[in-house]
Amino acid sequence: MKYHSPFFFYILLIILSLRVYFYRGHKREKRKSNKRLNVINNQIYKEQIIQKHYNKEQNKMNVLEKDINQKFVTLRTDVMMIDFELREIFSL
Amino acid sequence: MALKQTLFSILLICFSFSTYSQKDIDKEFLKAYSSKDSSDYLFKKAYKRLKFKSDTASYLYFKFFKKDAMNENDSANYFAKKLIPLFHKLDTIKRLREVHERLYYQNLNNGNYENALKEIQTALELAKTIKDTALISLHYSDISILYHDFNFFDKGVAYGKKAYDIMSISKNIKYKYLIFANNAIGINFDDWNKPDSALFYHHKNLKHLKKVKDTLRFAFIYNNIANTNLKIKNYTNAKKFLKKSLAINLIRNRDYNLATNYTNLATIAFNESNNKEARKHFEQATFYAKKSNSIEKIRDVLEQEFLFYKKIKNYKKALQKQDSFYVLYDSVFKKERSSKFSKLEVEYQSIKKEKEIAQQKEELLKNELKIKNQNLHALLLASALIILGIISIGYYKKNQFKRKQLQKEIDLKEALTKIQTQNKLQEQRLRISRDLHDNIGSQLTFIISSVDNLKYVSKGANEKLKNKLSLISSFTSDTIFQLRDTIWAMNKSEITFDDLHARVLSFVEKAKTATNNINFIADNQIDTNFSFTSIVGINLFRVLQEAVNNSIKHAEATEVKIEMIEKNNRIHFNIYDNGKGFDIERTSIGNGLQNMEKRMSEIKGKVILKSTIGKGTIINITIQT
Repeated sequence: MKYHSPFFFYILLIILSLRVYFYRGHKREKRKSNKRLNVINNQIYKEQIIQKHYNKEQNKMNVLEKDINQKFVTLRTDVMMIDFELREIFSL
Repeated sequence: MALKQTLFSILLICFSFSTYSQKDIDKEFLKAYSSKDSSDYLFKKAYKRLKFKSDTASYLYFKFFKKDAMNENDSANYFAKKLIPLFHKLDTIKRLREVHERLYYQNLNNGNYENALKEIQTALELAKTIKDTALISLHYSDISILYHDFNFFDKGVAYGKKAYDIMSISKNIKYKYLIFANNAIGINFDDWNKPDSALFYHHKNLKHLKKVKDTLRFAFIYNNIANTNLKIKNYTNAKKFLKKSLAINLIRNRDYNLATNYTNLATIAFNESNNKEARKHFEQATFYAKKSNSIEKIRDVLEQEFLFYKKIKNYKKALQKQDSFYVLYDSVFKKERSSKFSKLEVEYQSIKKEKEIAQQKEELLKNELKIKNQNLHALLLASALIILGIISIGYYKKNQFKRKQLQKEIDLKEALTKIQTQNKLQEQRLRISRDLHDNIGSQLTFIISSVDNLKYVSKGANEKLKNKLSLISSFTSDTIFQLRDTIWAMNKSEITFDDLHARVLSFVEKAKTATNNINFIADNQIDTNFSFTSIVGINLFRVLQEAVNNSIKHAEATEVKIEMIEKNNRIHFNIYDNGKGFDIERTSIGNGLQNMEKRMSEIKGKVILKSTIGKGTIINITIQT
């Protein structure tokens, strides 16, 4: 077996080189992939901010709607009042 | 010499046939060798034609044998010294063996036993190299004879038996070599004072003699049997066999053998006290012994002459013969020579052993190398598999990771799309709401302020004014209701069936109060609470509203029924009225109906109108759940 020492050494060298190659390849791949994921995550984050903004807008809409409902009520009452007054006017 | 020449010629002819490329130049050399008078001239002529090393080797070879045949031993040795290294270079094993064999005989005849042993051992190794069983046997026989001459009879017998065994197990048995082997064993036993064993082997040869062609070559068998019988004093048998041997040797003119025959005859004669005959035989024996140039033979004759003269009490001559004998004996048998012989034997055996050890070492190294190679191959295979495994796992993990990251990306993109869609919807909703509220809100404000103004103005109001105010009032009311419905829908991302049902009921209630002569029935047969989007919900409500309004306005009906059924994963809204009905084909579809169809197609629903004149109208609104 001692005759094969150089042979073992070369094999070990090859194996180590392969390990280093795959390790570096993995790291590179991980970096690229994380970059892409980060881009998407950032986009999601932006959309989430937009979503929050829309939710705020929705709240504003709700306020607006309440306001309009109030107007509806006012309108009805006023219309009814008109009607009532008109009746009052014409019934007298 | 003639015998040597013929023997050599035969050898050469055989060899010439086997080396076709040497044929022409060898023919010239053979011619030069065979020539008695013009040998030197022919050799010189042939020498000029030398081109290659093999030609030079052939030239030296033939010159060696010529000089040997002429008993010019110094010249022969000169050519041999030049020839041997050349043959080694050219790897001409067969001719090299012949040269060493020839040198063996030369040294043997000269009593140079150490050199004779060296030469025959070399010839033996060469015979083993060319794997010629017959020659191996012959050379073992020669070594046996050599040991006999040196009185190492036990070794002589051992080598003789080796020679016999090798030939006897050979596929191609040649009986003459068996005869040589038996002869060597026999003469060793003979001089070892074991006449019975000697006679046994010699008589064995008589049987083998029947299987050879040229029986005259084997006259020595008879001589050797005679010799042994002589030693056991069986003179009758001894003479009988000697005569046979002598007759053959006289025909073949073999000096050495004739010397032996006559020596034995002389010994028998003087033992039988036939001194005259003994002297005659001794003279002939001496003549042939000197002619044969064999020191051993001359020594044997001298030994017997000494015994003869001693017997006849001629002590002067006996002493002379003895002195001459010892001179020859000492030159052959000095103690240093004896130990040198042993040393040579030991050297030869150790060289042989070293060769064997080297061969075994080579085998071991070969096996080690084979195992090493096998190990290496196994290691290479294992390493290749490991590396392949690592690469496969590496790429698999890489792909797995990529897939996971991709899945994460997809999920995030989906979430992003969802949020974006929601935001867009919300944005649209808000925009519409804003528009709606802003617009309608401002209009309502205007209306309210107008009405307020009118209120102040209308204190002394007339009929016209009253009507106007009433119109404004009803218009505003309608607008308010519509707006409320829209807001209701817009405020919700999802409308349930219950919401819709409640809305429909609310609408029906209002319609009841607005129309006194129509009976409204709302029949809900749906248990499950479905959900719709706000657009679907509002469209459905509008269509139902339109359908009921149409019944109220145009049908002149007394009863309007709204039925809600679930059937085959579809919701059916059936609006029946018992009005006058109308001809669908002849009547053109107004805006209201068109709007209904449009609204339903937008939400992937259907509206089907059926009417019978005099009976009423059925409007069927269908939507998928």
